[in-house]
Amino acid sequence: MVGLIAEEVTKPAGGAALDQVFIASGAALVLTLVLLVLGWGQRSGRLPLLGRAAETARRIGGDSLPGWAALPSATALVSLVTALLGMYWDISLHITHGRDEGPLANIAHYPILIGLFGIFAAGMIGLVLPVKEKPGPAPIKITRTWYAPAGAILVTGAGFYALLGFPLDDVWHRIFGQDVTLWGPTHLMLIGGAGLSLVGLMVLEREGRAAAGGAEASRVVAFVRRGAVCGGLLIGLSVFQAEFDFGVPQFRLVNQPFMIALAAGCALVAARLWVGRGGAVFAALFYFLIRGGVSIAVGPVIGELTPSVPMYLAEALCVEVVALLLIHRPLVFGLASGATIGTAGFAAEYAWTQVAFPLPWDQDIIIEGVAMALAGGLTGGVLGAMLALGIEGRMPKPTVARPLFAASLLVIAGAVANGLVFSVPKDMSATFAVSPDGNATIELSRPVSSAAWVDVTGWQGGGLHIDRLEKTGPATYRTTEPMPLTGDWKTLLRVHDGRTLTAVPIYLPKDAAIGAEELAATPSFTRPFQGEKQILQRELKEDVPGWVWAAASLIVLACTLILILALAWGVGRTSRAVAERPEAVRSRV
Amino acid sequence: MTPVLAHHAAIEAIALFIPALAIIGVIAGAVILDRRRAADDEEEGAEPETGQAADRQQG
Repeated sequence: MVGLIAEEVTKPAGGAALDQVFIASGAALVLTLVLLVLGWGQRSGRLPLLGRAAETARRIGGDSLPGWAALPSATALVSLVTALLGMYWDISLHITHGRDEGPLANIAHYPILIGLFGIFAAGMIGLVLPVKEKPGPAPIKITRTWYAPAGAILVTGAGFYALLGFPLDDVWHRIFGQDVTLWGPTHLMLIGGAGLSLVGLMVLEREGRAAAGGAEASRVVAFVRRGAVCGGLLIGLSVFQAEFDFGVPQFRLVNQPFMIALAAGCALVAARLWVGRGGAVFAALFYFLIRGGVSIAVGPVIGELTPSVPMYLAEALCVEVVALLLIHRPLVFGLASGATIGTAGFAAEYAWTQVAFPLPWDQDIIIEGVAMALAGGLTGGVLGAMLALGIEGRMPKPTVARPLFAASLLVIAGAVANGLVFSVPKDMSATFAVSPDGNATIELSRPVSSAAWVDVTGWQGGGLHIDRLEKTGPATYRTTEPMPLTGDWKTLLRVHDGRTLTAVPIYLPKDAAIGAEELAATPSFTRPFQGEKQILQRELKEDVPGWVWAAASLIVLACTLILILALAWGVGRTSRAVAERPEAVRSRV
Repeated sequence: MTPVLAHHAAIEAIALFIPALAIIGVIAGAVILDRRRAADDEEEGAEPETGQAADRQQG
């Protein structure tokens, strides 16, 4: 999260920081006491406030889920939407204004903090609610008289993983400096934990449904509830695309079709299998409603930038059509859906980006983009199919499921690695002729073949400036609007062509906090291309040995693998338990 | 005075991660205590406290 990345400038290490420590400590004390008292009150029966709230949630849900599933699910969904709103608001603020005035000075941080802690709290609520009963088909023993639903433990784990991102983020910044990108390893923990908590919620819903003994309120309620969870999963898996949504990606464009296809494959295939006919379309519509609502809230309502929204409707239709032929062979259905998402879905999103995104896809990325989208769609389809099958107690045999799961993770890792590889030309420069009004003509020292983008980007000076340059010759361009070249703006020429991802700084302000001098935009100058990271992430320290970065990344990777394996274990455990319980309810596919 | 970069994640870690850790710590403590009591019960030959009530309720 760019916002949670940002550090504050110019505040000396003195009283202000201590004030904030006191405020934070007070909040910590209150949070701890409230949760402990609520938990103790429920477990001991002396203050059953949570139990009463759970009863209310159960009644509102039409008695189709026990309170220990209904209340945590509602709490988590509200928390997730709150965190989502905060995340996009925060990113928007940091794109336009740069770093914060202080840790507690950014209003957008509050919904993020409340939302992330709310996810953890939702899991804890589900963990303490069941008293004198073994909840669901796969309860986990805490003590001899205390059993918790597996889904609640998974939600708690995902929430804890997200919260663990805070201390690790701090350590990361202290070692490496500020990494002003969404894709910092510890930033991915913050958003990834929230997104993956949806898998825990799916498990919790299934456990609750089994415990209710088939007391479905109505097919409509079940359809809407499960469809909303799958739509939530689609949102959760899509938050990694936020840099592309705002038009300031710091990574190659082929990552975007890969991430869209992966999210669509996983969530929409799971939706069609788990929710039933029309489930994929409903999940996509739910996604569009919530995610689009957040964009409207952040943009027109709050007055910040409006992040673009991938469409996903075409992918959902692909899944529904494939289901007509292959729904009874779920793994084949997942693969076939992934293939259509990676091709027809890619084409639809290609068209959608032309009208809805600040940096539309270009023919430069078609071949590699389709390959990446196929990798994302196929692996997402397989994972989504296994997720839905597992939730319904129909997980394939371990000899099939485990290699498929491992292979999917390997393909995803390979695609991510491919997406991260880029090159910076060492023999290339750009010559600028800047007119007094801020417009410029730009001549590259050599032409680029068919660039994904050649643009001037300016940010952190009070807005976001993205100007896709007009080509006037083989290697010459001109701006279509004046560039921001004063104040706090950071303005640069960006070029992305194939694996080339590079930039030239045009104007950079003086930054006393990191000891950086101003780089002025004179009427004419020639500067070499360099890595974007050196410009966009000026705060990074350059003297840290590479092995330290590798070791730190491995720690984050280990935490992530633990969470993913825990979720897989939880789905597998629930699947076995549901399969063994004849009274367990099976949803139709 | 030289300006410094304040690390806001530390403040947020205090406010959120520490409570989460504390709560998980309390649960872990309850688990350890329960295991010890179970072991003591077994050593003393007493009828161990099991989740029978819960089992009965579950049917």
